[in-house]
Amino acid sequence: MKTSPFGEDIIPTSDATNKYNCISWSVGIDSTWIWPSDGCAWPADLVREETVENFKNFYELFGFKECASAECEDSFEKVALYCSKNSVPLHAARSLKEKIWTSKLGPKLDVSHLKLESLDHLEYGKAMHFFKRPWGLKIQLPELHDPKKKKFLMYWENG
Amino acid sequence: MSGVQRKHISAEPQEINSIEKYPDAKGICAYFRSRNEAELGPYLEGQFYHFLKKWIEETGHQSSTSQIKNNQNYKALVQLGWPAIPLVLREIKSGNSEVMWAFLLADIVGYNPVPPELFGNFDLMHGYWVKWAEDKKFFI
Repeated sequence: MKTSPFGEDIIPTSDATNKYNCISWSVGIDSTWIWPSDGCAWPADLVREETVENFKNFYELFGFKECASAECEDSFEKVALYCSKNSVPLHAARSLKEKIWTSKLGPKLDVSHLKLESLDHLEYGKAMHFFKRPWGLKIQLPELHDPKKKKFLMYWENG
Repeated sequence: MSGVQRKHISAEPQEINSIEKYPDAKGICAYFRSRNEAELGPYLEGQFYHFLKKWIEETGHQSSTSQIKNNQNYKALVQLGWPAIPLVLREIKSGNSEVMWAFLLADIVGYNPVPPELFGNFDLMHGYWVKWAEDKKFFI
């Protein structure tokens, strides 16, 4: 594999876009920026907190179950959640059938990388938690906004 | 520009960074321009692009909102206050879409007017901010 400006073993696979981020890309979405903070899409049923528990709940909504290993399996699609030393989620990567990984680098581009450690220099912490779901699993996408919040905001603005 | 003038100017964003004190954006800009139009514009612009470049360098590949917003250069941009808003809007209008302008604008203004149904779509959020600024009669 060639080297790229992003480091060894990293191959750009798209142009830069702010339409989606690593979390969106890890569940196969390329139309919205997903993160548990104000201004971002996030499932209406979950709290907006940057905790591992909250991200576990997020991946469960998309049919993933936590597993012990990052090792690629023929029957399963995997997600690796990168966290800081304090266990704060910072990034996610998704496995491909070719047994390599794909990541979206913030508002920049998608890349393929051979190993989870290939992104170590990008300050994403370490891949600490892993999730898997069967390839091709059909799920009903969760509602990503909380309509109740709009009413509150409008009241606040006018009031 | 002398060091003394820099010190004087850098104190001003603190003074005006309050929606309650100066609720009308046009009034804020007029006030600010009348105070120091000749030197503040270039100074502010220089500061803005200095911090912006470093912010992008250090967090431009991050998805984590806390990583993006806890950066010291981001905080410096927020501290520039309302006078920096036209510069942000100019960048949005020029098509610079690799920056999370919506976060920065919300932190400068002190609240987020963007409807939650637009959350996660930065193109629409940035478009909403431009409309918001035009409604408030910002100079862009």
